Amino acid sequence: MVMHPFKFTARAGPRPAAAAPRAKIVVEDLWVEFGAGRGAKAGPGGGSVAVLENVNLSVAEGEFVCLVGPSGCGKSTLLNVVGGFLGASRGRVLIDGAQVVAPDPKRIYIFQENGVFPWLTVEENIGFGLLDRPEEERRGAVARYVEMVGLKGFEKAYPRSISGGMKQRVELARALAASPDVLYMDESFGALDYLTRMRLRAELLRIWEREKKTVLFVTHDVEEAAQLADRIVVMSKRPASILATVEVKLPRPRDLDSPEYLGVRDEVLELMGVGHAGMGSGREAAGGAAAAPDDAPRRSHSPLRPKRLDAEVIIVGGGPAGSVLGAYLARAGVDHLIVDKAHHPRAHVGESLSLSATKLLDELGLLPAMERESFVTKHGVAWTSWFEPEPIRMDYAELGGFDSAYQVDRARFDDLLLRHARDLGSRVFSGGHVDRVDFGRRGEACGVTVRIGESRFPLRSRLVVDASGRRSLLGRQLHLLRPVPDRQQFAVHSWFKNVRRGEAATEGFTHVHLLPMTRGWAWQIPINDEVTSVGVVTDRQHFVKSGEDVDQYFSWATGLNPILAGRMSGAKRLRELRMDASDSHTLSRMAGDGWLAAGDAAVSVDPIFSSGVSTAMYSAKLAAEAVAAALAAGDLSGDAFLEYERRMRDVADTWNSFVRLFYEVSPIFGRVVADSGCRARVLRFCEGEVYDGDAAETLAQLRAAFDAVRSGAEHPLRKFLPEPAACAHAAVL
Amino acid sequence: MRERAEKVILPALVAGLLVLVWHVLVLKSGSKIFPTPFGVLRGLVELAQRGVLTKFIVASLFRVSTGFLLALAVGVPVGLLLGWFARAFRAFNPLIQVLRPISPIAWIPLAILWFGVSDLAPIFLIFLASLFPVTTASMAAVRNIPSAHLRAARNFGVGGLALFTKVVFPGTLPQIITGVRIALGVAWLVVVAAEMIAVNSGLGYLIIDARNSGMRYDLVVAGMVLIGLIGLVLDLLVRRLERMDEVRWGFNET
Repeated sequence: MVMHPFKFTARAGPRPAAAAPRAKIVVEDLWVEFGAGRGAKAGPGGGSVAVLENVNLSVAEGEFVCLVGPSGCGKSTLLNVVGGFLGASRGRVLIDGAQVVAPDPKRIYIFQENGVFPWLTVEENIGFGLLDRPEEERRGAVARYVEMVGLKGFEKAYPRSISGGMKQRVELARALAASPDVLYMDESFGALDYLTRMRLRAELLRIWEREKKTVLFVTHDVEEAAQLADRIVVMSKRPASILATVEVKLPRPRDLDSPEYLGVRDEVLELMGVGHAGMGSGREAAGGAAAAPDDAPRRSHSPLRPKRLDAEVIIVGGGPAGSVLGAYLARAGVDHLIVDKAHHPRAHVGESLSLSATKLLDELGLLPAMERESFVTKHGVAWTSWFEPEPIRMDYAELGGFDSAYQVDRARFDDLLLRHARDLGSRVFSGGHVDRVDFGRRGEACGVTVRIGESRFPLRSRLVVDASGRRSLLGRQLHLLRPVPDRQQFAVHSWFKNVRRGEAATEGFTHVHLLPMTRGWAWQIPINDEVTSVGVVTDRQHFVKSGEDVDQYFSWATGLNPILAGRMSGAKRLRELRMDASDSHTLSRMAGDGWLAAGDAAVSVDPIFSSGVSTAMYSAKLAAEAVAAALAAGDLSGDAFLEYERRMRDVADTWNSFVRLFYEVSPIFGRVVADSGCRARVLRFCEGEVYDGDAAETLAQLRAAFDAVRSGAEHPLRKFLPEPAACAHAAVL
Repeated sequence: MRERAEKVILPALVAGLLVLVWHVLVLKSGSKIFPTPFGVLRGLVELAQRGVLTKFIVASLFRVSTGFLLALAVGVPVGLLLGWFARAFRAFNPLIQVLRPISPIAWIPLAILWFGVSDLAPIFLIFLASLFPVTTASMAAVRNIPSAHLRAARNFGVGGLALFTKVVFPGTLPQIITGVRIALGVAWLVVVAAEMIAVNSGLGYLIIDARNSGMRYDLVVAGMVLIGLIGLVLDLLVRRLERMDEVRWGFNET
């Protein structure tokens, strides 16, 4: 092997134990051969393979040492001998001065996640090493380490239902719970995806700093070693001996872009005979990080792109918009990464999806999965009026096409979408909070900064899509948020039992109950066979001026519509009343150089008629088309997304005009629609189909119908409308 | 939801169709001996009225459960031990592989010779029939335990009997349950054959007796239907075991 001129301390051969403050582990003149029989004398015997040759190593108490070397060189063998699982052919291993002959609970060996016992729950696994301790002590230790590795809430889960990264946390917690002095880690994070690995490294360091264990960590990933270790021990090809050790005197957490860090990394690579040439292209690191010399030739990177890219496209947020965008991009073969801040499980909130969502779900091939989840389906909408005895019924079947929409548990639904995207090929990184979008020198978005606990690290991409939902990451960061002025709606709602659902044919429908006040209405949505969600949407001003408390207001408002009042008599509330504000906003710019915003992050519309999710999904589809086209054309400037922005704005404008119109005439809305002659079109509109030219026409027709009522003093419905002056508040007839 | 409905409706349709075809064929052929579906139903009612229906079912179930539980009690520990100790495995496995393919039916003459005409003969046959699936499944399960599990246990200082109860047994349970399911199926097959020869009660006896004493084919078919249905119920019961949290990891979720 050609040795490079080193500029660091490199030692081959015996390392004097005196060099360390206090030697915890001492490996003396260790030789291992396979096939010669365990404990047999060393020497070039027939048929035996020499694996380790003359290894000498000393590890100080509390030190974090990484062993790196080419794949298959014998680093794991060394760790197995040190751990007591394998005998040496010659030489010995001393721990605290005593020779190692067998494994010991004071020194735990952590392999990859498949060491977790699948028949035990997370907490039972963690307590496995404490079976001989008193119940109380065991429970305390388990709780402590569950907390430490971030598995709270998953104590009772079985391994089959948690991710690989979480299983590795279980392994780590199980090892720590046995309060060992030493941890042996053998490619422990090797089977995980890049981002999970990054996160676990950060957490391992946090825990190590707190618990001060001695750690001996085997890896073939040089970057991993450089991020973690106090000292990196570089091993040669088989038969392996120690080539050199590199001290890493950098503070933690280490800045992965700093020249010092890169210097250490390159030193180690050079020692391993890889040299500078290809490193830093980073794709290898992202894909499994083999830095072995025999993996050559390495890909050299373009001089125009000195930074490694983590993905072509980074999607911020794994809600419906992010997941659907991911699914479409995966289909288009665009490499992308979804960064999702929420840890599963998410909160369980019931939500009614509009019919247009069904269409998109079908396009995504998700209807069978929706069926499997057994979500409640609805087949139409019924409008009840406060001045008419009969509801106005609108069946989806009238519209042709799909005849059912879903009522979903958002936690399960969002999870379904995200899993679907992952199945199609989306890479997903969950649990990382995106702090900000990063911009390059020319003002183009070039990636995001992700925060995990206290450590932050950058992820680089050519394009960033903000699908962060109402939080609108970019809207806030770039001060683009524009609230829709006259939309100060809020909803008071809860779940009820024993709500009468009206005639059997419309039992599963969403009911919209109109109220004799402008800017207000109520919903009734079946959640399951027993539970019904009932809510009142009202103007915030109106509520404030009424001076009532929420309970009073809710019962007053639901009493305004006789049909609704009848349904609610005898209803039993199952939880507290909840209040949700639904301020609408749009962004003043929805795309720029290297970025665009999709879903609620770009356009947050009033979620009446359950349009929220379908709007998010639809805008994600538009965004995916725009992104794929821009990447294909090689133009990622803001200009490339003008068409996307125009269509998004159209959707927002159309929808906002519709909502404004609805609130002006909400007391008589149902009747006017029923009489308007464009009933099916309006229904389609209400169900979220606001994306084609037809929409503007429908809107105009509807407006004409309402204007006819408003201007014609003789019109029979005129008397049900409040005077314009009374609109703002207390608009009760 | 559609899928779930289909799961019930489709098989019901197929069964209904089969019964219909059966009925029509019997009428067309004008057979005096082969019963129509209604004939079978009447046969069942007659058995119930004579009070032998429950008696025969209980008799068969008793033989199956006794022989089967004995096989579990012997087969699981023996299988685990043979799987664990490589030398014992090497010594006994060839013998097991020779005995295993011999149909339990072939043992009937020996069973009668040894146990006479009593309940013991069929119980012995059922024991033999279920013993091999249980033993081989347990044996294979132990040999398939991932070394990572054994290493982890060893590292945490768990050895000896605790290693068996905490790691080996739970780790092999799913495969053992699969063996149990197969064994129970075989046991139920064998009980019928055994009862045809050696005893004077049970569903197998019912079939052979109905034929011998007056060509009552309605009762023959009734017996067959009962055997099929009870076999189904037994299998469903064992399948419920597969749903336990401690073993679900070992089965592909469907």
